[in-house]
Amino acid sequence: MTEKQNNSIGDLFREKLSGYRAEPPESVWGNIRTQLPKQISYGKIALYSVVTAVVITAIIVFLFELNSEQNQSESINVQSSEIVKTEQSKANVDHIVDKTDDDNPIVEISQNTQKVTLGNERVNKKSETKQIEKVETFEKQSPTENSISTTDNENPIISGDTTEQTSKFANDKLWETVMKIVDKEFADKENEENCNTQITNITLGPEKNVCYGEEVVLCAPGGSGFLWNTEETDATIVVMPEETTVYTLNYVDLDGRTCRGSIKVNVNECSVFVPNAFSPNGDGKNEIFKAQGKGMLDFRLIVFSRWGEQVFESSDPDHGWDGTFRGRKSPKGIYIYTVTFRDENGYPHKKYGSFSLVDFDRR
Amino acid sequence: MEISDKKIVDGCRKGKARFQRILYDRYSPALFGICLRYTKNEMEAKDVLQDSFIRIFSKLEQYRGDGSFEGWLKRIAVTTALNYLTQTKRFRLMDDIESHSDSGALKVEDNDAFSQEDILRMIRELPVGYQTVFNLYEVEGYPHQEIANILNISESTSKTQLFQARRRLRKKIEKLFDEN
Repeated sequence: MTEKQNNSIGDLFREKLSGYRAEPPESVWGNIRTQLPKQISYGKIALYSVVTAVVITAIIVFLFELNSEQNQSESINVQSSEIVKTEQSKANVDHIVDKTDDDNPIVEISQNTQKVTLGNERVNKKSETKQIEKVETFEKQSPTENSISTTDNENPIISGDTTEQTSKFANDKLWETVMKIVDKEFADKENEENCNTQITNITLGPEKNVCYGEEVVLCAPGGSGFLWNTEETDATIVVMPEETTVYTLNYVDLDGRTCRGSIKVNVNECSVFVPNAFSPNGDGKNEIFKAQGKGMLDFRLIVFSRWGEQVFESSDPDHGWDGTFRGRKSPKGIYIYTVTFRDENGYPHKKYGSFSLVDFDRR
Repeated sequence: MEISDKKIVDGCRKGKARFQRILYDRYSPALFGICLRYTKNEMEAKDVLQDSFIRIFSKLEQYRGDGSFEGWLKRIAVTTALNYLTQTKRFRLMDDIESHSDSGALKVEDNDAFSQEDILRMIRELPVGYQTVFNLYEVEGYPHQEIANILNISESTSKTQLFQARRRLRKKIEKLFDEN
């Protein structure tokens, strides 16, 4: 009785918890990503391993042949030289594939299939359309590839006697192994086309220009795992460069691609100061609102009221706003300015902010 | 079109960030569920999940492709959780002095009376020894012999811990049931 009850507890919990899922916080992925090894180039290794695997499988086939037909021992030398030939011709094909994108990997793959002497009969048995396609494509293409067709004609493995002599089990095993390799190679090529696996270089917006001693805010685009070359990991950083600097940012964008963003901040010999208040009250202090600075070319100062109405414009740094608009004194309150200019190197600068108009009426 | 596990595995083996992310997105909820079951709070669960994925990515070469991929991932998560418990010395066996007397019949007919959250909370409230053995035996389905091996305890200890875990859980359930 007790056992039964206990089991019902177990059943209850198993039922509730075996498929229990919970969404982890996003920060976990960021931590994981930083601890993963960097991407390595597998291209050549994969190619090499395919070649090796093909040779090994070919040798296995020969050994089977050797066992089943002992009188063929003298032909081994001939056959092993064929392996070398086959491999060489394969290398040629690889070469072609590497060079031209249109010459797709099917040629190379089907070459593998053919080399391990697996006939159409087994392909049909597998009933995987993808595999059938590959072999068929090969049959169509092989006459056009000189190197391949020569190998085919000369190669004694293909003559079909292996399929009769090798045991079914061994063939199936072999087939599996080879198809794994072939599939892998195929998938690899496909993946390479589907996504850009390299680090994607991103520009984090146009170059920024600051005067010496000015701060600038740099923002990261959408993504996670930010790492600036300032060793900061926030999405937004504030920098005050001493000299012209390129800031770089490593991150993973929303599609999971590894990206390197960069933005250049030019530091220039210039300075600009805009006050945050003025009092055009006739006391002789702070009567005029103007931007002060040096090294400002193509200068333009525009002042807006809080309702977005342009109340003043000037292209002369020494000519500032006296607080009047159309001959009338403007009400006190907050106003908005923009200052644009080029520095002596021709880089554009833009500065904007707000200031207060205070104490207009006191005389 | 959904990307097959095989493609993901191949992509990850090459260290391609895109596939690593896909793998994480696809399986992290299930693995986080496991991590929550074996730990006491979300902080610990996050740590274990993080370690699990780092292990997964570094051991992906060893995945032979036979058997369920999800099963393989889950096993890594469980192992990582156990490692975490033993390494941080959180794993401790409890010895209930209470007698093994039966606390009466369990009258839970309607399993839907409890939410997954209730159930998860009850498991996490157990002493860590009970929690671990119960998880391994009842939810993961490991036999006592294997549990004993993994946790480096005797088989009979494993059985006692399980028994006590069930007893405590039954009490909790009855309490919750009465409240409802």
